[in-house]
Amino acid sequence: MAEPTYRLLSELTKVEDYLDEAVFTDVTNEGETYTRYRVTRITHEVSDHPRDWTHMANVVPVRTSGIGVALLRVVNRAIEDSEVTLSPPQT
Amino acid sequence: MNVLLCESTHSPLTAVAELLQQAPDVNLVSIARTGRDAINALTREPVDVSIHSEDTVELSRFIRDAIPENVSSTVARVVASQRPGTPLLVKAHQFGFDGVIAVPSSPSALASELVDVVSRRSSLSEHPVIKSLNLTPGILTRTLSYSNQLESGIADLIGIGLSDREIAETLQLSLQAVRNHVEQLLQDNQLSTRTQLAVLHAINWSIPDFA
Repeated sequence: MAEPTYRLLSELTKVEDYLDEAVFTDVTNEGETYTRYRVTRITHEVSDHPRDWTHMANVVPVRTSGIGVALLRVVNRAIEDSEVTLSPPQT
Repeated sequence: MNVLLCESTHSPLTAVAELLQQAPDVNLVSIARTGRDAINALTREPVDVSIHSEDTVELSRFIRDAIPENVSSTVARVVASQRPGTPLLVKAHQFGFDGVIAVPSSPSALASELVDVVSRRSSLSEHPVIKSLNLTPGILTRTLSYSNQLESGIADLIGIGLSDREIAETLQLSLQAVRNHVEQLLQDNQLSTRTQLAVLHAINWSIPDFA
Protein backbone atom coordinates (compact mmCIF):
# COMPACT_ATOMS: atom_id res chain seq x y z
CA MET A 1 0.00 0.00 0.00
CA ALA A 2 1.31 3.45 -0.90
CA GLU A 3 2.39 5.78 1.85
CA PRO A 4 0.10 8.77 2.38
CA THR A 5 1.36 11.97 0.88
CA TYR A 6 0.71 15.50 2.12
CA ARG A 7 0.89 18.36 -0.37
CA LEU A 8 1.30 21.74 1.27
CA LEU A 9 -1.15 24.31 -0.08
CA SER A 10 -0.47 27.95 -0.64
CA GLU A 11 -1.32 30.31 2.20
CA LEU A 12 -3.44 32.16 -0.33
CA THR A 13 -5.78 29.17 -0.53
CA LYS A 14 -9.22 30.04 0.77
CA VAL A 15 -11.45 27.68 2.73
CA GLU A 16 -14.27 28.34 0.29
CA ASP A 17 -12.10 26.99 -2.51
CA TYR A 18 -12.63 23.54 -1.00
CA LEU A 19 -15.71 23.70 1.22
CA ASP A 20 -19.24 25.04 0.94
CA GLU A 21 -19.51 25.14 4.74
CA ALA A 22 -16.54 25.78 7.02
CA VAL A 23 -18.32 24.73 10.23
CA PHE A 24 -18.50 21.03 11.02
CA THR A 25 -19.15 18.77 13.97
CA ASP A 26 -16.54 16.28 15.12
CA VAL A 27 -17.74 13.22 17.03
CA THR A 28 -15.54 11.57 19.65
CA ASN A 29 -15.78 9.39 22.74
CA GLU A 30 -17.33 6.43 20.89
CA GLY A 31 -20.02 8.55 19.31
CA GLU A 32 -21.05 10.33 22.51
CA THR A 33 -19.41 13.74 22.39
CA TYR A 34 -20.20 16.31 19.68
CA THR A 35 -17.93 19.31 19.21
CA ARG A 36 -18.40 22.01 16.61
CA TYR A 37 -15.36 23.47 14.83
CA ARG A 38 -14.68 26.04 12.15
CA VAL A 39 -12.05 25.44 9.50
CA THR A 40 -9.78 28.47 9.43
CA ARG A 41 -7.39 27.24 6.76
CA ILE A 42 -6.91 24.20 4.57
CA THR A 43 -3.19 23.47 4.84
CA HIS A 44 -2.60 20.22 2.94
CA GLU A 45 -4.13 17.93 0.38
CA VAL A 46 -3.74 14.32 1.44
CA SER A 47 -3.47 11.35 -0.90
CA ASP A 48 -3.38 7.60 -0.39
CA HIS A 49 -4.27 7.75 3.28
CA PRO A 50 -5.46 4.40 4.66
CA ARG A 51 -8.39 6.14 6.34
CA ASP A 52 -9.26 8.10 3.20
CA TRP A 53 -8.50 11.51 4.68
CA THR A 54 -8.32 14.00 1.84
CA HIS A 55 -7.26 17.24 3.53
CA MET A 56 -5.55 18.62 6.58
CA ALA A 57 -6.73 21.89 8.09
CA ASN A 58 -6.37 24.32 10.94
CA VAL A 59 -9.52 24.48 13.06
CA VAL A 60 -10.89 26.37 16.06
CA PRO A 61 -13.70 25.21 18.37
CA VAL A 62 -16.86 27.27 17.83
CA ARG A 63 -18.15 27.23 21.41
CA THR A 64 -14.88 27.31 23.35
CA SER A 65 -11.42 28.71 22.88
CA GLY A 66 -8.56 26.71 21.41
CA ILE A 67 -6.82 25.77 18.21
CA GLY A 68 -6.24 22.47 16.53
CA VAL A 69 -5.44 20.45 13.46
CA ALA A 70 -7.99 18.31 11.66
CA LEU A 71 -7.74 15.51 9.19
CA LEU A 72 -10.78 15.76 6.95
CA ARG A 73 -12.57 13.58 4.43
CA VAL A 74 -14.01 16.06 1.95
CA VAL A 75 -16.53 14.72 -0.55
CA ASN A 76 -18.42 16.99 -2.94
CA ARG A 77 -17.15 20.09 -1.12
CA ALA A 78 -18.59 18.87 2.22
CA ILE A 79 -16.79 17.42 5.23
CA GLU A 80 -17.89 13.83 5.55
CA ASP A 81 -15.71 12.85 8.49
CA SER A 82 -12.99 14.34 10.65
CA GLU A 83 -10.38 13.68 13.27
CA VAL A 84 -9.39 16.70 15.32
CA THR A 85 -6.33 17.08 17.50
CA LEU A 86 -6.50 20.14 19.73
CA SER A 87 -3.29 21.84 20.81
CA PRO A 88 -2.79 21.97 24.57
CA PRO A 89 -3.51 25.40 26.10
CA GLN A 90 -0.50 27.73 26.16
CA THR A 91 0.65 28.72 29.65
CA MET B 1 -36.23 3.47 62.24
CA ASN B 2 -39.49 5.15 61.20
CA VAL B 3 -40.61 4.20 57.73
CA LEU B 4 -43.31 5.70 55.52
CA LEU B 5 -44.64 3.63 52.65
CA CYS B 6 -45.87 5.56 49.59
CA GLU B 7 -47.78 3.42 47.13
CA SER B 8 -50.46 3.86 44.52
CA THR B 9 -53.63 1.86 44.39
CA HIS B 10 -52.40 0.50 41.04
CA SER B 11 -49.18 -0.92 42.43
CA PRO B 12 -49.49 -1.52 46.18
CA LEU B 13 -46.33 -2.49 48.01
CA THR B 14 -48.12 -5.24 49.91
CA ALA B 15 -45.08 -7.50 50.19
CA VAL B 16 -42.95 -4.63 51.47
CA ALA B 17 -45.60 -3.65 54.03
CA GLU B 18 -45.72 -7.20 55.36
CA LEU B 19 -41.95 -7.36 55.63
CA LEU B 20 -41.80 -3.97 57.36
CA GLN B 21 -44.27 -5.12 60.01
CA GLN B 22 -41.95 -7.99 60.89
CA ALA B 23 -38.61 -6.25 60.39
CA PRO B 24 -36.46 -5.67 63.48
CA ASP B 25 -36.10 -2.06 64.70
CA VAL B 26 -38.49 -0.79 62.04
CA ASN B 27 -41.67 1.14 62.74
CA LEU B 28 -44.10 1.42 59.83
CA VAL B 29 -45.46 4.90 60.46
CA SER B 30 -48.10 4.95 57.75
CA ILE B 31 -49.07 3.70 54.32
CA ALA B 32 -49.78 6.70 52.08
CA ARG B 33 -51.81 6.20 48.93
CA THR B 34 -52.06 9.88 47.95
CA GLY B 35 -49.69 12.80 48.05
CA ARG B 36 -51.82 14.38 50.79
CA ASP B 37 -51.52 11.22 52.91
CA ALA B 38 -47.74 11.33 52.55
CA ILE B 39 -47.51 15.03 53.41
CA ASN B 40 -49.67 14.56 56.49
CA ALA B 41 -47.58 11.62 57.69
CA LEU B 42 -44.29 13.43 57.12
CA THR B 43 -45.37 16.54 58.98
CA ARG B 44 -47.07 14.62 61.80
CA GLU B 45 -44.15 12.55 63.05
CA PRO B 46 -40.46 11.90 62.36
CA VAL B 47 -39.74 9.69 59.35
CA ASP B 48 -36.29 8.30 58.56
CA VAL B 49 -37.08 6.62 55.26
CA SER B 50 -39.91 6.85 52.75
CA ILE B 51 -40.27 3.85 50.47
CA HIS B 52 -41.96 4.53 47.14
CA SER B 53 -43.52 2.34 44.51
CA GLU B 54 -42.26 2.94 40.98
CA ASP B 55 -45.27 4.96 39.93
CA THR B 56 -44.98 7.42 42.82
CA VAL B 57 -41.46 8.55 41.91
CA GLU B 58 -42.64 11.68 40.08
CA LEU B 59 -45.10 12.48 42.86
CA SER B 60 -42.27 12.48 45.38
CA ARG B 61 -41.07 15.86 44.14
CA PHE B 62 -44.45 17.40 44.83
CA ILE B 63 -44.42 15.86 48.30
CA ARG B 64 -40.89 17.08 48.95
CA ASP B 65 -41.77 20.62 47.90
CA ALA B 66 -44.87 20.64 50.10
CA ILE B 67 -43.14 19.87 53.41
CA PRO B 68 -40.69 22.04 55.35
CA GLU B 69 -37.10 21.73 54.13
CA ASN B 70 -35.82 20.75 57.58
CA VAL B 71 -38.17 17.77 57.41
CA SER B 72 -37.52 16.78 53.78
CA SER B 73 -33.76 16.97 54.17
CA THR B 74 -33.79 14.34 56.92
CA VAL B 75 -35.89 11.78 55.07
CA ALA B 76 -34.06 9.26 52.92
CA ARG B 77 -36.08 8.19 49.90
CA VAL B 78 -35.91 4.83 48.20
CA VAL B 79 -37.84 3.12 45.43
CA ALA B 80 -38.85 -0.49 45.94
CA SER B 81 -39.36 -2.69 42.90
CA GLN B 82 -39.59 -6.40 42.20
CA ARG B 83 -37.14 -5.99 39.33
CA PRO B 84 -35.26 -2.69 39.45
CA GLY B 85 -33.72 -2.11 36.03
CA THR B 86 -31.58 0.62 34.52
CA PRO B 87 -34.48 2.95 33.59
CA LEU B 88 -35.72 2.92 37.18
CA LEU B 89 -32.21 3.50 38.54
CA VAL B 90 -31.78 6.51 36.27
CA LYS B 91 -35.23 7.84 37.02
CA ALA B 92 -34.76 7.51 40.78
CA HIS B 93 -31.40 9.25 40.56
CA GLN B 94 -32.85 12.07 38.51
CA PHE B 95 -35.62 12.62 41.02
CA GLY B 96 -33.14 12.80 43.88
CA PHE B 97 -33.75 9.43 45.48
CA ASP B 98 -31.14 7.92 47.73
CA GLY B 99 -31.53 4.33 46.67
CA VAL B 100 -33.36 1.68 44.71
CA ILE B 101 -34.00 -1.66 46.37
CA ALA B 102 -35.24 -4.97 45.04
CA VAL B 103 -37.96 -6.26 47.35
CA PRO B 104 -36.03 -8.62 49.63
CA SER B 105 -37.14 -12.03 50.75
CA SER B 106 -36.92 -11.48 54.51
CA PRO B 107 -37.76 -8.74 57.03
CA SER B 108 -34.20 -8.64 58.32
CA ALA B 109 -32.81 -8.24 54.80
CA LEU B 110 -35.16 -5.31 54.21
CA ALA B 111 -34.15 -3.68 57.51
CA SER B 112 -30.52 -4.14 56.58
CA GLU B 113 -31.03 -2.55 53.15
CA LEU B 114 -32.80 0.43 54.68
CA VAL B 115 -30.02 0.97 57.21
CA ASP B 116 -27.57 0.83 54.32
CA VAL B 117 -29.46 3.49 52.36
CA VAL B 118 -29.87 5.77 55.37
CA SER B 119 -26.21 5.60 56.26
CA ARG B 120 -24.94 6.08 52.66
CA ARG B 121 -27.17 8.80 51.29
CA SER B 122 -25.24 9.26 48.05
CA SER B 123 -25.05 5.60 47.13
CA LEU B 124 -27.23 5.95 44.05
CA SER B 125 -24.83 8.50 42.55
CA GLU B 126 -22.07 5.95 42.99
CA HIS B 127 -23.92 3.25 41.09
CA PRO B 128 -21.90 2.16 38.01
CA VAL B 129 -24.84 2.76 35.65
CA ILE B 130 -25.32 6.32 36.89
CA LYS B 131 -21.60 7.01 36.76
CA SER B 132 -21.27 5.64 33.24
CA LEU B 133 -24.04 7.92 31.99
CA ASN B 134 -22.33 10.94 33.53
CA LEU B 135 -25.65 12.22 34.82
CA THR B 136 -26.19 15.01 37.25
CA PRO B 137 -29.43 14.86 39.29
CA GLY B 138 -32.34 16.59 37.62
CA ILE B 139 -30.83 16.95 34.16
CA LEU B 140 -33.34 14.52 32.67
CA THR B 141 -36.39 15.68 34.63
CA ARG B 142 -37.56 17.94 31.88
CA THR B 143 -38.69 17.72 28.29
CA LEU B 144 -36.45 18.26 25.32
CA SER B 145 -36.66 21.57 23.55
CA TYR B 146 -36.23 21.78 19.79
CA SER B 147 -35.34 24.68 17.55
CA ASN B 148 -37.40 23.32 14.69
CA GLN B 149 -39.37 20.36 13.35
CA LEU B 150 -36.29 18.79 11.77
CA GLU B 151 -34.47 18.61 15.11
CA SER B 152 -37.57 17.06 16.66
CA GLY B 153 -37.49 14.42 13.92
CA ILE B 154 -33.80 13.76 14.47
CA ALA B 155 -34.39 13.37 18.21
CA ASP B 156 -37.17 10.87 17.41
CA LEU B 157 -34.76 8.78 15.38
CA ILE B 158 -32.04 8.99 18.03
CA GLY B 159 -34.65 7.88 20.56
CA ILE B 160 -35.35 4.71 18.63
CA GLY B 161 -31.68 3.92 18.36
CA LEU B 162 -30.59 4.95 14.85
CA SER B 163 -26.99 5.98 14.20
CA ASP B 164 -26.20 9.38 12.69
CA ARG B 165 -25.50 7.71 9.35
CA GLU B 166 -28.85 5.90 9.42
CA ILE B 167 -30.61 9.15 10.33
CA ALA B 168 -28.88 10.88 7.42
CA GLU B 169 -30.09 8.18 5.04
CA THR B 170 -33.60 8.24 6.47
CA LEU B 171 -33.97 12.01 6.27
CA GLN B 172 -31.97 12.44 3.06
CA LEU B 173 -29.44 14.69 4.77
CA SER B 174 -25.66 14.68 4.78
CA LEU B 175 -23.95 13.04 7.74
CA GLN B 176 -22.48 16.41 8.69
CA ALA B 177 -25.90 18.04 8.67
CA VAL B 178 -27.17 15.40 11.11
CA ARG B 179 -24.13 15.83 13.33
CA ASN B 180 -24.57 19.59 13.34
CA HIS B 181 -28.21 19.19 14.40
CA VAL B 182 -27.30 16.70 17.15
CA GLU B 183 -24.65 19.06 18.45
CA GLN B 184 -27.21 21.87 18.46
CA LEU B 185 -29.73 19.69 20.31
CA LEU B 186 -27.13 18.82 22.95
CA GLN B 187 -26.14 22.45 23.29
CA ASP B 188 -29.71 23.77 23.54
CA ASN B 189 -30.65 21.19 26.15
CA GLN B 190 -27.41 21.47 28.13
CA LEU B 191 -26.62 17.80 27.65
CA SER B 192 -23.13 16.41 27.24
CA THR B 193 -23.63 13.09 25.47
CA ARG B 194 -25.77 11.56 22.75
CA THR B 195 -26.96 8.84 25.14
CA GLN B 196 -28.33 11.49 27.50
CA LEU B 197 -30.28 12.89 24.57
CA ALA B 198 -31.63 9.45 23.66
CA VAL B 199 -32.62 8.69 27.26
CA LEU B 200 -34.27 12.05 27.75
CA HIS B 201 -36.21 11.72 24.53
CA ALA B 202 -37.27 8.14 25.22
CA ILE B 203 -38.57 8.68 28.73
CA ASN B 204 -40.15 12.11 28.25
CA TRP B 205 -40.20 12.80 31.96
CA SER B 206 -42.19 15.96 32.16
CA ILE B 207 -42.84 17.20 35.66
CA PRO B 208 -46.55 17.63 36.33
CA ASP B 209 -47.51 21.18 37.19
CA PHE B 210 -49.12 20.95 40.59
CA ALA B 211 -49.52 24.69 40.91
